[in-house]
Amino acid sequence: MTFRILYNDEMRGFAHSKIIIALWVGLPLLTLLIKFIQPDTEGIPLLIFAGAMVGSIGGTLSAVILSTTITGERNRHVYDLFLTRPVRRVTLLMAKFFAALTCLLGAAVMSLGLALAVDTATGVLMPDVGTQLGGFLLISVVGLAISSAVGVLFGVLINSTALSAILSVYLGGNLLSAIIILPTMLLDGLNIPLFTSLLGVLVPTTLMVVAVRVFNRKSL
Amino acid sequence: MDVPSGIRFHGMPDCMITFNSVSKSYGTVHALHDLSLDLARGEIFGYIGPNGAGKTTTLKILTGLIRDYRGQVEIDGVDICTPDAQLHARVGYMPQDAGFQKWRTVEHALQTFGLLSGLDRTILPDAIDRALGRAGITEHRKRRITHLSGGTVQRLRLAQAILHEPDILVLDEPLSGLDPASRFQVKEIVREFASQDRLVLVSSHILSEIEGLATRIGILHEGRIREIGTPAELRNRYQVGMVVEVTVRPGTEIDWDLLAESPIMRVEPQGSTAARLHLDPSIDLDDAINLIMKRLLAHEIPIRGIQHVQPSLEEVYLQFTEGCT
Repeated sequence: MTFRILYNDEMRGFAHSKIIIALWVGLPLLTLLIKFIQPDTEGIPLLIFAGAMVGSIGGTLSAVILSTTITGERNRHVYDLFLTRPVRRVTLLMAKFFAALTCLLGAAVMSLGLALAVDTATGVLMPDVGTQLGGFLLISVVGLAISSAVGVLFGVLINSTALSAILSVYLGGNLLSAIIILPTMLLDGLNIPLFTSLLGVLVPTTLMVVAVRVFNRKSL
Repeated sequence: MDVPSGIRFHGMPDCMITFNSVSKSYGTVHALHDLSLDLARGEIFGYIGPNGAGKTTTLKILTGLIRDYRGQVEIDGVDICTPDAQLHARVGYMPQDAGFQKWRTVEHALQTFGLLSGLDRTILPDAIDRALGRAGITEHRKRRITHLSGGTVQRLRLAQAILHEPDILVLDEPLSGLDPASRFQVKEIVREFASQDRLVLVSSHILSEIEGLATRIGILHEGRIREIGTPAELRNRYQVGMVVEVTVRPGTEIDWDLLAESPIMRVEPQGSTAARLHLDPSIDLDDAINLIMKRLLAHEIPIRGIQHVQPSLEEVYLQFTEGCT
């Protein structure tokens, strides 16, 4: 019940502060921009570019949004008003995590869907488009989950909003995308969907557990 | 006068909150030293101390925002760290400097806090109406919080604290940044809560702000409770410097230093026609007034008035905290 209230509240906050618009309009627009800048992709589907972009930019965005929001709200004592009510600290962080993830996944789905539509219109569809799309979606979910968890961890650990943002840019997107992609490139015979799914559960869970433990010990 | 820490000041029958040897440090800085304190339902407890004395730390421990402290805090005999204490349902907290998320309107903030406090959606609109009305900010209901003045935000902090009608109201510097009308309104709310057999704990670093409001006052200094009592008790206890105010006819040329002989220890001019005479505490007040009148007449000073002045608690407090440092 408390989670639902907080999650809805966060979603409403993202909507009111125009973050949802920036993500849900901005990320698909970037996909179109790629096509506009490079109309001839030499037969490579736009879906591939969109997938890479979502993993990179989306991951960075999720980490930056969450870390700066949490650091800023901690510094302004916003949580004092929540945590003097029957709200557990873990619930507060989980609501933020899942709300940010929902917004970014929405943007990712729209970008990939738009890329698919463009590929269909221009006739550069991959033969196994369903599998490819599923793969990109899975990687997006996992990448964004890891980046969001990193954002939450930085948010509770770091007291400076600027430092939170900088570290999230360094570690939130690209580096963590590498965690997912590198093993799939280096290890032969790896069951990629299973490996990615496992990472998607284990890494964010571990990061969130650490973040919650740190937050639980903090004096606000 | 130093009150040994670690002792219980009252064994009050209506005791609601008990701090039992509570200590808290931030690194090497000791914010609270072995604080023991009982607070009873129906009282307005003024928690006074200079900035950095440990007031906010105490309130944050009571409201569960600070968890790593030594000692024990109980509400109605139940440790606040246990779920049985129903801490969050029973306490309404108005923090000194808590911010609101920038995108919120006043109404939306209260909706969220009301739901989180466990208020049913069916009664929430009425509860919001009542809290806004009491805090005097009904007209700001639809406004974004970022567009509100500091005083209005302060009243919104109060509205969210009283929204769920808590048994215990904890107010951290509630009057700071408020105009006189708003101060009056806040004091009325506090009195109303206390009259309903609820406990109100009010902190301030300015004693005069709550001198006429608090039914009991605790003076905190450097993390220790130094004094505690009703305003009358404290005044009596600190009647160390009796004060007599003398008023003379306007236009009188007077050298007040002529009066500065025993038992008058200090003369404090109050404008051109009056002065406060601080007397030796060992002398009887009537004898002192008699002596002052004789001295004034001897110097042919035309007297318009002479009266005993109760030193304000603020003076007591200032003397006290200066003496402690």
